[in-house]
Amino acid sequence: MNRRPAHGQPLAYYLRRAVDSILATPVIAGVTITSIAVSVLLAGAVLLVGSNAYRLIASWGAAGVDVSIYLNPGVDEARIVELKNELGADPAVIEVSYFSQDEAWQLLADNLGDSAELLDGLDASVLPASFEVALGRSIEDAKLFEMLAIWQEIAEVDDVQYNRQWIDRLRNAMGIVRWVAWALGALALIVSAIIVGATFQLAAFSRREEMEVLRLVGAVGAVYWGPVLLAGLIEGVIGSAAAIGLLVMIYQITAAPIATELPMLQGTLDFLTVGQCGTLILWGAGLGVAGSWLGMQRFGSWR
Amino acid sequence: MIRLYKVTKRLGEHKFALRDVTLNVAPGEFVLVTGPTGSGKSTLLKVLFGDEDFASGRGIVNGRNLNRLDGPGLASLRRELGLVFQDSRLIDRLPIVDNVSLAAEVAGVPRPEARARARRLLETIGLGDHAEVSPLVLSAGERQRVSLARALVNNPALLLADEPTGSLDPDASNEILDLLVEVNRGGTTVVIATHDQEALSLLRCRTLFMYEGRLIEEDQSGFDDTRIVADL
Ligand SMILES: Nc1ncnc2c1ncn2[C@@H]1O[C@H](COP(=O)(O)OP(=O)(O)OP(=O)(O)O)[C@@H](O)[C@H]1O
Ligand SMILES: [Mg+2]
Repeated sequence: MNRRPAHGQPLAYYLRRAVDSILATPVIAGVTITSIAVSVLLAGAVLLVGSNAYRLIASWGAAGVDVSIYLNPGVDEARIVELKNELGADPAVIEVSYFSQDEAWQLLADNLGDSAELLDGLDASVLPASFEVALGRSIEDAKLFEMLAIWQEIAEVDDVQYNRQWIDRLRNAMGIVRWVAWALGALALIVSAIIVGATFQLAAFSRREEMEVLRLVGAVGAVYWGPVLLAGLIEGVIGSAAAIGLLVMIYQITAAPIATELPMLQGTLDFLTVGQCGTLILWGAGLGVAGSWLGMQRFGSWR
Repeated sequence: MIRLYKVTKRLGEHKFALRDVTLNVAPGEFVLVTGPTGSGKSTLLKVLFGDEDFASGRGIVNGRNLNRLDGPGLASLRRELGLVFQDSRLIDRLPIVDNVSLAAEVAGVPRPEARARARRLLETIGLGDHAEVSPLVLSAGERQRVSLARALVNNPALLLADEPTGSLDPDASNEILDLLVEVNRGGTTVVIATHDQEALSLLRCRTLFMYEGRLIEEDQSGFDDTRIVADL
């Protein structure tokens, strides 16, 4: 009798057979790698947009609350000093600055830059004088509304505006944007998983005669599955690395123009972290292994 | 080496691929299985290497119980056997030396040793100079010789060949039959399914006849030994 246990082979053996099988069918390997790359690119794009949006919101949340208190015309200097002290007395107030009508005008002109001539013929008195009050960011809404109510009641005050309203509104809007992005991302992932699955079925189908030969010579366990799963892993890593490379390129081409168009984004835009890139590569590798395994279930299973 | 007892495989209500097949083959025998097309020759061989299961009966091949073969057991049985088919079943993308050594590698033989064995076998079948070529460039006879080398790379106890000369011209056929006889002389049990009349007349040896799934043993009275008696 001539019994032979299913001995293993060194890792290099499986690697060589995996690489050989990839190189033997370059077109199918190319299609497989591309499908993984597309899937990882979609996941990476969602992750990139999502984490930048998150960072942006976080940075806005980190800004303090600014309140503009617009005064009626004709308040005299002494009363202004008095009011300024009054406003600054509250411990929640970090800073109070006064802008006269002329200063407001000057600020507006500065902001308009070359277009300042639009202001020609207008009088500085159309803009109100104001106090700009900076509050800490830890201020609670209840306390804020209480202070706003008190300031609104001051006789010389015409109007009170603050920036938390639009922060809250933007935050809500960004939340919706993020959910939409995640939903689209999830949909794209499902679609791409189906495409990846189909390409791996194709790969397994193209290998089925070879797998039949392996079964006829009694290959089982690692010598049977190993090279196929390893090929899937390699294709997954190549595909996801290519996708990340592409994402870096897209980011470098688009980030600078976006930051120029939207100065508010300056300094908050950033690429994915190393950890996020690692997750994407794991995702691609997992797709490759799972795809190979499913393909083998269909076209390469023993008995 | 082979013991089958009343092995039956049904195809339908009244149709059998195998019907009460009882067969004993001793180690070292050389056996031909013949019969008309569709009579069950291939099915019989498939049962012997575990590619077909059967509804009733018992079977033992190389000490392994066919009725209780699990996946790993089946794979082990395959590694103990040598198989040759009419269509050679080579992997075209691999050079022929790798086609042969692969069968040893999956049995755990380190690759350098497996390749050395494969090269020695290719030498003996006259394809030593072609070790690195693809099977695609070989003739049918050469492909079949590679297939035979692969079947022998693990020194099998039993070699099963289904129409090994089915696609070959007479010269190539004779070469393969020569090699099979030589393998048998080396001690390997050989079972060949064929309807190649020339092979049947050349190899005067134990011949089994199949008809509609039944196995009919031909009269053996002329032979005092079931080993190969023909001199080619
Ligand atoms: N998977 C299958 N499903 C249904 N019928 C089958 C199957 N395999 C074989 N058969 C039938 O079983 C019978 C025996 O087939 P088998 O291939 O064993 O014959 P054979 O003697 O090898 O014929 P040939 O000389 O043409 O190779 C035939 O009637 C065939 O049609
Ligand atoms: Mg047949």
